[in-house]
Amino acid sequence: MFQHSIKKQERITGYLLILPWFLGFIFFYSGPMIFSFIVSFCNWDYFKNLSFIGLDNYFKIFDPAGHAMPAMRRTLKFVFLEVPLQLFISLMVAMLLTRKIPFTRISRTLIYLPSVMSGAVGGLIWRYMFNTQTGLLNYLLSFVGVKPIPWIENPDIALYSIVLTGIWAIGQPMILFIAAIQGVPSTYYEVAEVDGAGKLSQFLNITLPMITPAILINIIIILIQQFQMLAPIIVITSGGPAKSTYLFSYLEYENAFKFLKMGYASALSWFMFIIILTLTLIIMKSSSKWVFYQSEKGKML
Amino acid sequence: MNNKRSISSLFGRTVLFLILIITVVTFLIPVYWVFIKAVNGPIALFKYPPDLFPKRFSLDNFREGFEHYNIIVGFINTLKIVFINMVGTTLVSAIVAYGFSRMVFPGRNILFVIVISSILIPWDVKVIPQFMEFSHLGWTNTFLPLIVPMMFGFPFYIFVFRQFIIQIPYELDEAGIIDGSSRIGIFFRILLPLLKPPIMTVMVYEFVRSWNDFLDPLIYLSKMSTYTLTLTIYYMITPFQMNWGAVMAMSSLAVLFPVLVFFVLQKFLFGGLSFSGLKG
Repeated sequence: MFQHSIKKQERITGYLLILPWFLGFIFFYSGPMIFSFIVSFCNWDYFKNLSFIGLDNYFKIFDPAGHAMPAMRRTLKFVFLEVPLQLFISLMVAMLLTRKIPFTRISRTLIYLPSVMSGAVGGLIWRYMFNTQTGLLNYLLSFVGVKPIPWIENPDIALYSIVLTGIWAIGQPMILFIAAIQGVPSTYYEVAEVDGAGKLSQFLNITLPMITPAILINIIIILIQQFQMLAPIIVITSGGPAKSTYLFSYLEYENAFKFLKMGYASALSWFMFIIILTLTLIIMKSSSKWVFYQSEKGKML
Repeated sequence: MNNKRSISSLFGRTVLFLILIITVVTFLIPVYWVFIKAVNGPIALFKYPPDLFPKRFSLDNFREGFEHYNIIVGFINTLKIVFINMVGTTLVSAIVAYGFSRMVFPGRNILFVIVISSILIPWDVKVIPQFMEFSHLGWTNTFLPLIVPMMFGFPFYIFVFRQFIIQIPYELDEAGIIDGSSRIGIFFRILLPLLKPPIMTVMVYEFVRSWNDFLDPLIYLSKMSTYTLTLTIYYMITPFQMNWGAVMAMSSLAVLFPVLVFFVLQKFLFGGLSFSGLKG
């Protein structure tokens, strides 16, 4: 009886302790999201009356003459460039920083630095460095004989310039990779050494399989981050030139906060959410085929 | 044989070391450039070729920035938001995490899965519904949209705290129960003092996040007296006027604080990631 009442008391205390999060979840996440789902079937210019228009907002997204499909294609191109690049470079840097060479600790700190800069302020600095005539980048490239590149003035180049700015902020994935690499037991390498395995073979057969959990987490985090990449676009190009950097997130931002087309913007955000969710689930589903866990405990939950 | 091997290994390490230097220099270019251009004076801004190493030192850009723009107001506004968020969200997230890691109640695991999943909800997806909600409440041009949601705990921080708490032996709680402490008393008297590492981690994260936040202020704040630091700097650039000297000077200030905090407290930032169990 006494035991029972303690258990009951613990249950109540438990619910009370997590109550703040639960209320926040209702008021700031699920509640508004359900509301926006309803609004996505309406025409609502925010200040004017709202009217139900069925699936029209979604038809508008798939309208081949509209802005949404080209914007989504650009976003997919951007994401599929940025994710592998960030993954590859952060892994290479992490490998470098876990070798037995001097100054790796301070280097880790310095390489992380651009990641604590805000996307907006960092974007301004990049915009200044991208200047075709007087910018730092073209000046540095002139030493190796490269002619001035119109980084953000040429529609064929601008998107790649934005991709480039993202590569600087790889602190987070780098740290996860360093922790994962350091977590590989050194005995594995010693055994491989005795067997005469070269460095490349050690990397491919020991390091890479052992850090697949970190690769999985990094892919998902970078993917979600890059789909919603917005601040650098606002600050550097505003979607230009000739709409070459007009990404889906920017389209959403303009419709919601410049044109106040809340119905259409809600539909856009749900469309984006479903694409991100689908891709994330596909990656997670595939992970059982390529992610290697040392123990059950290693899993995220 | 042995000697030959150590020579080749020395050579290999030297090559790696050179690659390391090049990598570090490459990553530091934007950080270096903002500080150099900030103290280089206004004339040097569009000089070509630019001086890679500044030939003169001048604080004119800073004077320009402070005189012509509301930097001080932005600075104070940012500090207010950062301070309230750092204290509030850290405390609430820790309490919620305590509930998730120490109490047994039906639905606990499924609710925690929801916490984890909501880390992954993109900003784009929740910002539009939140904007409709907050502007209906009349919260635009106040700091409430930037503060209130944080006061209910932040999913990622709850996760960080929970991963730390489950590693603390439960016997400590039991000792408290036997002494007749209430559960919340156990949290404040026994667990909280042990939670210093994740508290520091979360505070550093929240400092950097709140300080750098640009999109939420951009959407909710349109009165000049409410601008945050990043927003003030962003509005320094208009189609008619680009005072890049002042922009670089003020940007260097905006970058300086997170950089300093990061330098001093980096062990908590890096340590936090390893104990949060993301190591795999």
